[in-house]
Amino acid sequence: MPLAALQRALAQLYTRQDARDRFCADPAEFARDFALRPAEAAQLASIGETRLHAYVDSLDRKRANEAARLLPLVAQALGPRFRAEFFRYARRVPLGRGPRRYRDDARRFARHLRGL
Amino acid sequence: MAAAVAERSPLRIGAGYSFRRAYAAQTYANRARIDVLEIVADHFFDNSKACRRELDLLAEHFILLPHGLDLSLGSADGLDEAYLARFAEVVRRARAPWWSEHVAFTRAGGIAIGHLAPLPFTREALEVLERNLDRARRVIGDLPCALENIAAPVVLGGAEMEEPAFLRALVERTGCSLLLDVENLHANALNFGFDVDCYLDALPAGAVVQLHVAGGEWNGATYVDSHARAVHADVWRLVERVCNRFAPKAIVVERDEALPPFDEVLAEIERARVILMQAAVCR
Repeated sequence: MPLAALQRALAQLYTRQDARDRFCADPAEFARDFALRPAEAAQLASIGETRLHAYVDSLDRKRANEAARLLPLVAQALGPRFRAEFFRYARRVPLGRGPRRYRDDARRFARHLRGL
Repeated sequence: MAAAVAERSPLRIGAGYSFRRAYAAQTYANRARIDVLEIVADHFFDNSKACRRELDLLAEHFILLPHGLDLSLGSADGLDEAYLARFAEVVRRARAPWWSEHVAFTRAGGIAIGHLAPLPFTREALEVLERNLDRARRVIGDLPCALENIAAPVVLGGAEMEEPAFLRALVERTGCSLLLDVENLHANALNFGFDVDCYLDALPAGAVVQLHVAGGEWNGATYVDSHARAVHADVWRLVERVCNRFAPKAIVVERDEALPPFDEVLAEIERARVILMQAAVCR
């Protein structure tokens, strides 16, 4: 199914920094990695880097908002550093799956902070 | 196929907001001023006795509209059966007139994206939506559903049709209704530069049963539907046009971030109710 392959490539782009780096360096090779047909490869390339990065930033902000809601005292104690540190963490660690994914994410972020 | 909303639910339900636990006490205290509550189904997936009791109590006092965020009806990989089972249980307990989800995908290849991602407007995407919706209905049961247009963060090329034609085809193929998010429509029109009236002209007239309204803000050159601001005057004017054209049954105000004093939410609910009633009188 062409759409399934396209969605797998998009999910990587939306959530993985290394995938974005590969895509921005060579969109055609990135499309080949997912065995996309020319039509789907063109769809992928049509997104544009500016909108892609704006979307990724919005996904990271949403994750950071959830983490701040679940770790309010940590967010208060760290102030602006909370978000800065979260964005660094989010670039390396993708969001998990399932209904408890934001709770798990906050827990992983807390562990990340302890390791600093 | 499940019956469409128009055949199954009251003529008009009214106006309300997307329930937030931070407002729980004020919500019950002002229930005479709230016709309907939308509940984010994901917020009630905790299978604890307290969570079930909370949902039952809400259902005793309000008309509830369960709204999914992560069913991912547009996933070509198919649905997450565990999520679907939880979602169906919330819909069942809510005793709702209809449930709603988005025209989007949120996961693919084992990866959760974390938010709504747009689909290409293609025949293959329509087939995927139809197949997944059919599966969802087998589990949820014979209850109408309404599918929502999203605020598109990106637009995928290679579309075989425009979004309203895609939504029309979706309604015709599945018998679903539409939840028209007016803020999302406003945001997409600003960000991608299309004519809102042409968009509305192309939607199926009898299919829009519910509206979402919310506030957004500019982030650089992009208008973001942040749900963190009061509803903009331009969006209210658009809500009036939409109500006059489609006569929806319910309007739900969404506020997710920077929650204001509840009086501000009540004022927006009241404004939505007035628009809904005026449109009904004029028809």
